[in-house]
Amino acid sequence: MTAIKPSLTEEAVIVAHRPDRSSGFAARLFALERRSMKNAIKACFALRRDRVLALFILAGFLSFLHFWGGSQPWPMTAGGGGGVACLLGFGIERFLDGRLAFHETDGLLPVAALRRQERRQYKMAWHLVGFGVAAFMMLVLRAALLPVIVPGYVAGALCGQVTLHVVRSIAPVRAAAVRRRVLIWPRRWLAGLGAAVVLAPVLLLVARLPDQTARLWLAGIGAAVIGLALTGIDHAVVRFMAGAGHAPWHVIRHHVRGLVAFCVPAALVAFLAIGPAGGGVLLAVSGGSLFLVSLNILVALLYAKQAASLVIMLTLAMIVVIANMLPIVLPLFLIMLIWQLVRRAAARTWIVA
Amino acid sequence: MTPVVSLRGVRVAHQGRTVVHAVDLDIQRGSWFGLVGANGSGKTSLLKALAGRLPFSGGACLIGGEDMIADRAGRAEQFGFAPPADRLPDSLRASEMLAFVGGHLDRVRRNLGPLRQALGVDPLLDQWIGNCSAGMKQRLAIAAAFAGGQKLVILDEPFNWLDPVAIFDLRLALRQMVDDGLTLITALHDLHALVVACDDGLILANGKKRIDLSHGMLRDAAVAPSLFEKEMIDILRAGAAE
Repeated sequence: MTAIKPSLTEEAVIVAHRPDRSSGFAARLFALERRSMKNAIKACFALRRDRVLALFILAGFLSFLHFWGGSQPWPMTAGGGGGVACLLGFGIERFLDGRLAFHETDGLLPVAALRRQERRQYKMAWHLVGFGVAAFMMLVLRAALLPVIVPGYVAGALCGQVTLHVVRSIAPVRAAAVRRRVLIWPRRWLAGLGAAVVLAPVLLLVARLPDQTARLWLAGIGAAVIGLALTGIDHAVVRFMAGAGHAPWHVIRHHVRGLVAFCVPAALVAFLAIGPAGGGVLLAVSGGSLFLVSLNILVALLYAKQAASLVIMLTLAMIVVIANMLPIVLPLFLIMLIWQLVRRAAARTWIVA
Repeated sequence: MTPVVSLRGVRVAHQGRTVVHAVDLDIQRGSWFGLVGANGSGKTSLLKALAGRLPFSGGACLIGGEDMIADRAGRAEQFGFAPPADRLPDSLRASEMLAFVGGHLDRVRRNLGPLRQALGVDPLLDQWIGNCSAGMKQRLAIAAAFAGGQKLVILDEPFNWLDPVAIFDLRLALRQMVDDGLTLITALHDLHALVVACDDGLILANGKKRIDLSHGMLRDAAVAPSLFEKEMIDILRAGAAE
């Protein structure tokens, strides 16, 4: 017998909210977010070819993780695994705090976000999801790493909580204003020049090291840290600019002023202090940051905020897979990716919904 | 008659700055209270604090005779509140969102009463919120305020983004619900809506109460709306100049 499929409206009645499921995993707030995320994922992979591509990327990434993990010495994979778990715990804790702050003031279920017990349940549920993801990745990487990720994840989450308390106790009412400034910062030429000035003495110190490989690594890490600080985007600003008629390239140009102002003088200092290889590393790392911010902007133009994060993660995973399996086609892939995203994002210009 | 909402000397601070200063007001059960003020006069902050969305930094907030100044969750439970339309979750369908707020879509339909027709909710139910226009999102945000079935509802500028027909229908439906016992508090920019729809009101300027608008004043204003409008504009200008 063929089952009668309920209409979307009826389905919403049945599935969206079950009145008795108001504790633990089924807390209303968690259920709301979970549904929202599930819908965003479904929308991202609405086409069969998108789902197949995502599965291919995931399978490739996991195989890479597995074979790479197997070939590395245990201390290195343990350190890497613990570090990833720590970062995940930290990131999820900070993310959840931001979500709860949103629900308190502008969300649909403020009561749940304001009640201590519901908050705790909501956080715990998402942390279990986050920990599950970390555990799965470690199982693929090397099953013996599982004991390492528990303290790593917990330490990261605790660290996230402590930093939030510290920030609030130092600047209890200025946090939002500080966040806005931090997001505006990368868009200024002066910020890029300032970042280059900060990096210059570091490069001069690094240049004194005897080992050229160490010099290049440290110069690259320094540039990556500063480059990442200059890649922050404000999702709302990006969407607003597109809605107001700015073409994707214009939105990107608006956001990368700081990065451009940083990379030229920083590469020059690295060239003079470390040599041509140093300059090359700086330019390569800055180019990577430039690609990352462009990718962030283009994806933000095409997807809602939650879905955008997921698409970025998957795209980066795909880049890692291709870089390891077929490095020769990576530049072509990156060009095609950006070209395709720009074409799709351009169609969104002027849409003020 | 004992007011259902009574504020005494309430203050609201936003990012370290006091934006609402020692406001007193009383709202009667089963009435429509209109809050009028210039942009940045503190209307939204006051309404958000009343609905538990922001903390009060001082004063007394009596709801049904109980002081709930320190109980944000309790206040949020008492009031239906329309979230900002542009912050509704894009990845939900309208039916899902309303079901989450109201517990069940059938219950939401009952709670909406005449608003279901006035807001044109049914054709929106299967729509993704992310695909809705600003006006459609505004309708859904208003519906969300009523979905939980509270008898106290706060709407912040509910007529924004709506077309003239929707404004008219919404105003009539809200009036009908107020006559049936709803207590409605709205921030408004439209003095005409204040005069024709509200029972009482208040003018805020720079976070301070400028003038109480009694039932009698609003009824007189309905007879001579142009004169009332000029008086109110003068008051708002004077408040802004302070």
